[in-house]
Amino acid sequence: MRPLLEVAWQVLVEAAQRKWTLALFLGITGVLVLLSWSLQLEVLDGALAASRLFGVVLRSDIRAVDVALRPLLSVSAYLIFYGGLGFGIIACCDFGPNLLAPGRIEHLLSLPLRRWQLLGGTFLGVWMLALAGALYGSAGLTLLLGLKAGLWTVGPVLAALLAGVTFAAIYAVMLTAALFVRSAALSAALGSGMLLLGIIAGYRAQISVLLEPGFSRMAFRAMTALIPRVSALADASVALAASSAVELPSLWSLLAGVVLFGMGALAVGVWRFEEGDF
Amino acid sequence: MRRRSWLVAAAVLFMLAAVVMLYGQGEVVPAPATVEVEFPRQLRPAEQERLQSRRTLRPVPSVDMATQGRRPPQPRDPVLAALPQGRGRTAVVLEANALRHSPVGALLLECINRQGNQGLERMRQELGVNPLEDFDRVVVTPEGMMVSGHFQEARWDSLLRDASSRSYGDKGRIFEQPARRRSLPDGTVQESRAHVMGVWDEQLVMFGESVTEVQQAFDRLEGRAAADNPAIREEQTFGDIYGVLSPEDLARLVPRQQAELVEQLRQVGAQVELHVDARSDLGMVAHVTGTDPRKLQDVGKAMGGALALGRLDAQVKGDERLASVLEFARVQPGLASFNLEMALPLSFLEEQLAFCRKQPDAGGP
Amino acid sequence: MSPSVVPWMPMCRAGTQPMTSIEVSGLSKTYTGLFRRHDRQALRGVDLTLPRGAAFGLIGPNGAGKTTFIKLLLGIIRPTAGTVRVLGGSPEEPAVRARIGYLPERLHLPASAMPLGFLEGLARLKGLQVLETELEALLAHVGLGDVIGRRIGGFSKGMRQRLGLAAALLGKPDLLVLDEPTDGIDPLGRVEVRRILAGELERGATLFLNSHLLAETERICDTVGILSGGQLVRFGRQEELRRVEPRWRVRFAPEVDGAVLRATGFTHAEGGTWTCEATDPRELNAALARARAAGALVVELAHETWDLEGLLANALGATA
Repeated sequence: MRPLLEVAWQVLVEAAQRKWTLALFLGITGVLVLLSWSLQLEVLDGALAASRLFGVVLRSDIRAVDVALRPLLSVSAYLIFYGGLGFGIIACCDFGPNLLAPGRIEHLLSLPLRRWQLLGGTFLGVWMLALAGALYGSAGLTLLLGLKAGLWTVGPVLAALLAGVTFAAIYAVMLTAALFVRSAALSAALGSGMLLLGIIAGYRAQISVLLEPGFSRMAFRAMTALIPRVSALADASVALAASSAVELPSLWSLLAGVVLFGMGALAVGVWRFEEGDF
Repeated sequence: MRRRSWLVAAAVLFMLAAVVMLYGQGEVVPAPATVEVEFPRQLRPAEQERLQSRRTLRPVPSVDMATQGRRPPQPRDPVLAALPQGRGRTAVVLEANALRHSPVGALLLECINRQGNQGLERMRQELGVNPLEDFDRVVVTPEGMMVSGHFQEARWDSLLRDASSRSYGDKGRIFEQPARRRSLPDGTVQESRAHVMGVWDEQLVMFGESVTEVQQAFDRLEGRAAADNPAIREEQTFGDIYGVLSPEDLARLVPRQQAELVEQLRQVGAQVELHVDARSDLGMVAHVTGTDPRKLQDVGKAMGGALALGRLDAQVKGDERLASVLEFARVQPGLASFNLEMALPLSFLEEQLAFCRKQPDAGGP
Repeated sequence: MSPSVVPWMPMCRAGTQPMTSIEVSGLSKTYTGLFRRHDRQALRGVDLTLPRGAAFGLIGPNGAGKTTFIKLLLGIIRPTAGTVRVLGGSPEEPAVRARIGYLPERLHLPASAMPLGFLEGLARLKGLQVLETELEALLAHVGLGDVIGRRIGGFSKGMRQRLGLAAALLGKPDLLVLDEPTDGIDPLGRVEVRRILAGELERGATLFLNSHLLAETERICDTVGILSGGQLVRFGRQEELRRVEPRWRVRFAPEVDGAVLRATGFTHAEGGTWTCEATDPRELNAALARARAAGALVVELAHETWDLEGLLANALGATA
């Protein structure tokens, strides 16, 4: 286990030294600072009486602050979830191909590390980096709403955590793809494809009824049965952020399924890594 | 061989993932959990048509108007014409026909049927009136009640047996039952108040305590008194329940715990125009106006705060139902008024009327 | 085994097991193409045994299979046939690789990292507990003591190579596998590197060197192997492989008459020297006696040797 964590740590150290990582965190901080400066909320007896953005009064009804801020929390949850996934796909697509760069992979394979530890550690490091970014932004938003409106809610943080679990599955596919074809572009393309497929899979029940009963519907349901339900998790994150009921039989099962999918993709990657000549 | 085991592991993990995700998501299209509320804010096309179709009261044209070339007055809604005149009055109209076919009405009817509808059956047999079919609108005022509908088959004599009746005007009949004192077998004395009932043109029935009020209503209907400033104007007749509340009656309706709010409402001379939509979940809009716009805004904020606090309080006390109801409450500030909107989910009403589902006792009414 | 491969084992005390650092038997590697078309056989049945403490240089033309051989030693790729044992174990075992220091031909170095940070990270991956002062001393040892505070992205080619060498030396490995270690390093720097490698050999480490700079290999290595077409065509101690049998090189005093020497069987060579063929000492002495009888005075006598370039050319010519 320790070599796995050491590899993950080295990935984080390397990522921290990259300029774009610094730019990412500065960007998130900038947005939060801008929001804290420009957004003014007038709260009276637990009710949101008025809100202003850059001095412009926003039309707002006087209602309980947690209810009034639900749209903001919902939008934030969607942004954190899908924005986080999209950014993670683009920003992390080159870690896998870089791992396999000539001169680097030979050196790494000559170290006293098992191949699966090298691959697993790389995956873990990248995932932790993406999760850290999402949690930083969501924690900042939580702090902002708490200080400005007295609304202390872990909704945005939960949305970030759900996005993190979902990203793990998507990145597992991206990293495995890089082991077959060493290309950041292909890795990003497959990650984007997984995201789109995951959105469709999340609405498979609604979409399948639109298909002709019979082979096409059965084929669609069979194909989407395996894909992580990205949109279902996004909707669940929005519900959690807005303190509404999650419309799922079991969120934990869905999360477990996504984790299992990611592990399966990684297992394929380890097989490829173990078999491959570099 | 050992390396191939990773592929086997991958296959097993993928299968497990599919099974677990199927269980986690389910296969049924989820029904939307949101409450469908229609907040009545203005006359809708159907209500416009309804309004037009109710203008059946043709005023008597005066000779002066004809010779002076003025346009004769337009037909009016008799119910509105019969209402007390002037602002600052209280009158609430229930569209019985619309409510009967609404989900709320279905709940109430189910409740009535389960509790036994002997009262309705008796009304049908003795009076010749079926409330479920013959009533169109029910108007409630502090002075009494008015019902509009189709009463051609009604036998009003059997309702107030000891009442005297006389004609009034062209189409009116007034029934008066004086106050009575009755000695009961146990020695106590039962006193009943005077009752007055007025029937106009087999389409309007009024109940009250004052003959004068009924006569004035008949005068407005038949053109002997001014009826151009009713308590509820035509443009206010939207929703399944609508009406106006005077400041005094509004203050009486607000809970005593909100004494400060009551005082604030009195100070701004607040008047409320109330509208309720019952086509799905209940949506209520109260349009509040007053004499001092600035103070009125403060009242609006205070009401918003009170609702938020009430919701918090309900959450703290574990009253999830009340908390969920108050979730839909909000105050929309305007320039010289504010709207208070509240919604009552149908599920909440079902829970409130759950007692109806219990079978009545064998010896019950 | 090829007849040109001189089997060589170190002298060892009687009764003890010879200590080998690398033991390769029948090693073959075939790279399979897509749908098994265009398969390429990179190594064909290589046998090699290298004792501990040896300094071995592997030379050969491009495409001979040197990089493939190195990768097989390190477990980076797996053999198609044959066995590989390194330091008494399989190179696929992390415990074996922990005792190997490797400098690849093109080492990837993170541009935005500091040299100390890079070495520290590497030490952690190797499971080593190394103090910062030790790392600083290592950097100074390879000549990077003055640039500890500079980012790797600002290093020259030679400095990057020195850093790679420092990385290979981390943890005092038992086997050093260096692929072009002096590439990009200036001549004086190369002297320094040779000194460093000599120090490692003195410590008891085994050196495995792959370098196109044959002069460097000549200077550093006592054992040489020539790989050509995936086969080990020459292997053995350098002085034995380079010996050109049965030729001797002689330098006479300048007054010698060339025609006389030619008549006695000597051939004029470059540098004012003469060569003669003699299969045994008796023949050699007879030739020298004839030359002395003709008035020539012998100043210098040595076995004719190739330089590594000549050895390589001879080996490749023989296998062509």
